[in-house]
Amino acid sequence: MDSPQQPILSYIDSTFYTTFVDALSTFISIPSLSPLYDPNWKENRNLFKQAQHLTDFANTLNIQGLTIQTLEAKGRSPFLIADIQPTSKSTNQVLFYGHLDKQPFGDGWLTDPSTPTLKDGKLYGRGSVDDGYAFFSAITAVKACQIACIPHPKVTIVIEGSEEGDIADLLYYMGEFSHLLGLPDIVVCLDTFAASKESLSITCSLRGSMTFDIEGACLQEVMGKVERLQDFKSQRVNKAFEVEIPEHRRIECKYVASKLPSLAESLPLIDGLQVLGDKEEIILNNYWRPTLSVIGIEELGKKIRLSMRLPPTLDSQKAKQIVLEILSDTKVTFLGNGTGFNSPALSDQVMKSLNEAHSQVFKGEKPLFIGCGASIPFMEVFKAKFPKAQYILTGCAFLDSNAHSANENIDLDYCKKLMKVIALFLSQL
Amino acid sequence: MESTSDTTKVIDYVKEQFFGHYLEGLKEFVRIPSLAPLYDPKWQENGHLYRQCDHLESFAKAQNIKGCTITPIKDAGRSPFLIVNVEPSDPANTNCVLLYGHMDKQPFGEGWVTDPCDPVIKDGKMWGRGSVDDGYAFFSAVLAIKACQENGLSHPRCVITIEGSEEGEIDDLLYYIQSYKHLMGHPNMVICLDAGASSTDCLSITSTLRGYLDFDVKVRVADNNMHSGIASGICPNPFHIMMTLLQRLQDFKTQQLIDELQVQIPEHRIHECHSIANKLPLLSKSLPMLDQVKSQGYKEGVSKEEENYALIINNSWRPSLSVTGFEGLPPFEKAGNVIYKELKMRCSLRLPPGLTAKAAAEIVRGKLTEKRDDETYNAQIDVIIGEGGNGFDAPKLPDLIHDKFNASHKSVFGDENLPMFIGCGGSIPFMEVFEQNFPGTQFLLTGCGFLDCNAHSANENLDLDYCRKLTTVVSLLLSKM
Repeated sequence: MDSPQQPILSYIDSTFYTTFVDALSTFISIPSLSPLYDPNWKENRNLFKQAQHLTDFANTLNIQGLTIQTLEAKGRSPFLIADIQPTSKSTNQVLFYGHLDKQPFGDGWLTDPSTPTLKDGKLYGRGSVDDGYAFFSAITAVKACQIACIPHPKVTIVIEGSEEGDIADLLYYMGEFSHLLGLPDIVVCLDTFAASKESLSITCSLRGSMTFDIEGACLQEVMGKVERLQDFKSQRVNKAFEVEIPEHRRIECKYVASKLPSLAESLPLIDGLQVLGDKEEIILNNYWRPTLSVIGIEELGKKIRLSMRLPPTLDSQKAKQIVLEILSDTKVTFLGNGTGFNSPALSDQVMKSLNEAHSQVFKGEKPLFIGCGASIPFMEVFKAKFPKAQYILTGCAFLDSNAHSANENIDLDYCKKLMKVIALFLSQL
Repeated sequence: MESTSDTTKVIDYVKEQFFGHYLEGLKEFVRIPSLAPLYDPKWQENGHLYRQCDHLESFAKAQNIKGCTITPIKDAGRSPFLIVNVEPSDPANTNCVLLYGHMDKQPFGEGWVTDPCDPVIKDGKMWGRGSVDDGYAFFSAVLAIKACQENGLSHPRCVITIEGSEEGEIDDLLYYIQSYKHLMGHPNMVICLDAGASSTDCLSITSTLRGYLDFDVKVRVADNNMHSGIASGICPNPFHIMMTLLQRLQDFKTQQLIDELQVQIPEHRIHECHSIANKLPLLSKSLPMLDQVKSQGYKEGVSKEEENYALIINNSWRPSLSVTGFEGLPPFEKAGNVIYKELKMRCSLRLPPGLTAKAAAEIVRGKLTEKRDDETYNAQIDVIIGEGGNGFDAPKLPDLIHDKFNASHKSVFGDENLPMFIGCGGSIPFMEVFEQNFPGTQFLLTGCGFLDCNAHSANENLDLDYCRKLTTVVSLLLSKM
């Protein structure tokens, strides 16, 4: 028996390989490199062309209640805001995030990075998975609700133009144009990872980071100091930097361990290397524990640069203080730091909507709540701006999607499923 | 037995000659830029080393030393080597003294106040490259012998050997000693005029040298570099493994090396170290260390003498380890958030006298390749042993020679100033060659190399009056043998 939501799924099925893939292909063909990587971006206007392409696409969909505008502050990358009025009485507001700038091409491509190439169910080309699909998926999901005549809440889509580079533009636009963003209850960020084809992956924690230099008379002396921060043998960081891992996150990590191959398998490790714990332990290590890496060296180790990854809930200012306390007798120079992110628990209603939507598309599966050992700087901006919102970070970036390297690609069928989940989710809010 | 007046005659003769012919000879030595082959790839074309050899040869000839045979050797592809043989004044004297020096020089480097090839005499010093390292050696040896002959004193057979590649490879010295050993007799004493001086009140006799061992350590964990956010906590960091390995040799906090690399310090050397600790200024003061940095001999409440003793023992008799190179980690400007797939580190180990480089290499290899999976995670670890050289602990001088030397020293430096027996933290590779080729011989390593003589840096200089005294002591010693 067809559910009332069947038209949503049918609409997506019928338009995905035409309208959506065409739009994404055009996205690939516009080389909208991030300003950081394209000194001529103001002259060639590729970023602006990309924004125009997104706008044109939205307009052809004839979405009811749509206002779309591209902000172009002087000297800044473009910033696109699409606002769609609610068709339900719901007072909820959902904000989708994506970006239209791209990583540089780099070497090693088998196809032209700006020529969209469809092969084995994947669309190859720069920007395909990072992060071209985001806008088209979000806007198509809204359209699908409207086609099916199922009410949806207010939706705001923001697409920035400098995600791969400086965060200043995002900060600027979100500060100056706050009134256009409303006050979302739910922020859906479509720019993160996928760990398994069997379900969506929801990134629910990110580690923070901190970079600093220390100096001493010789390598051994400097290392004597580093040893206070971490034990070389066990490679465990000083307990002062650890946090209590929330029980529900431990359970999630255990679940992830049972569902996914070992995280180590995706790394280019030499044969026989012992990793830093069993399957579950390395997940906890990577998602929730501090780690320290020496990333640079000067004067044969009289000066070294350290990069620390911080547990999601450790404030990076506090981490700095801990370093200063432990190394009170040492010259320490801080370079940068960012606090991690631990997504607040989703409300029962949101969780239920998400689970139901997901279950319909992924054959009864629940989404996989994963952590991320790396940092996503823009999350700090959002968290500061919308402290009470609920966050859903998801995406199509598998490890072999090569988001930042050659032969970037998107798994189209998986993307279609993601789009369906979003559309169903919107229809239930 | 010579009389006081003989001694005075020698002292006066050396003084007169020193500030005459001697200085002219040494000035010309400074003028010839005879850089060591290692630092002068064109040395065979420009012929500076050959010219230096010719200069020494003609100087020796001009001295009209009795019983003297001068043999300059310029074998193909090798730096020149000069042997001056002087027959004993009395054929019945079976002693043979070998005097060693070198004619090659360090490169000039930056920072000279005067032209490094222009011998400038100022404030009692001769400035210029090669003055103290090691130009004076040959002229002092020649003058010491000549002074005996001119003043009617006896002397044993003397063999002066001046090599041309001391600052570089040791191969040439090995080659010449082996090929021309028949020209060198059977020396029962080697006087090496290329060592340090620590006080102007007396000669310093270098009684020990440390050896050395270079080695590389390579740690590999992956085939590609990895994003530190994605891989940390999963992949063991190769840097940490590297440090764990290094800690198997050394405690980072105390900076002491493991017991296996230490030796039992002979009792008489401990006494010597105590006695010089009281005479010399704090060793650390001669280093360009930051003011606030405490020396490795410093301890709360310890006297300056005790601190100095600890430093002297550390520097002469204990191993030390320096990391001299790093590959795989970028400088700061290129430092990204990366876990590197492979790191390489070059280490230089100074060895205590008595521990051979070969034995040390086995200890190092054994420690670093010992598998402990909770420390090294089955990473690929390679230890590549590089160059090494043994240290040196001079045999105790027999009482007879010791007394003769002390008497000669007293005549020049006064009754109250005894020669100082000190250790040297560095290595002098050629000592090993002599030790092996002339087993059982006595060694006297001395020289004019004060710390502020800048032997290997800009503004090299020789304290002329000190050098004159050294020459006199050598002459008097020869006259007693």
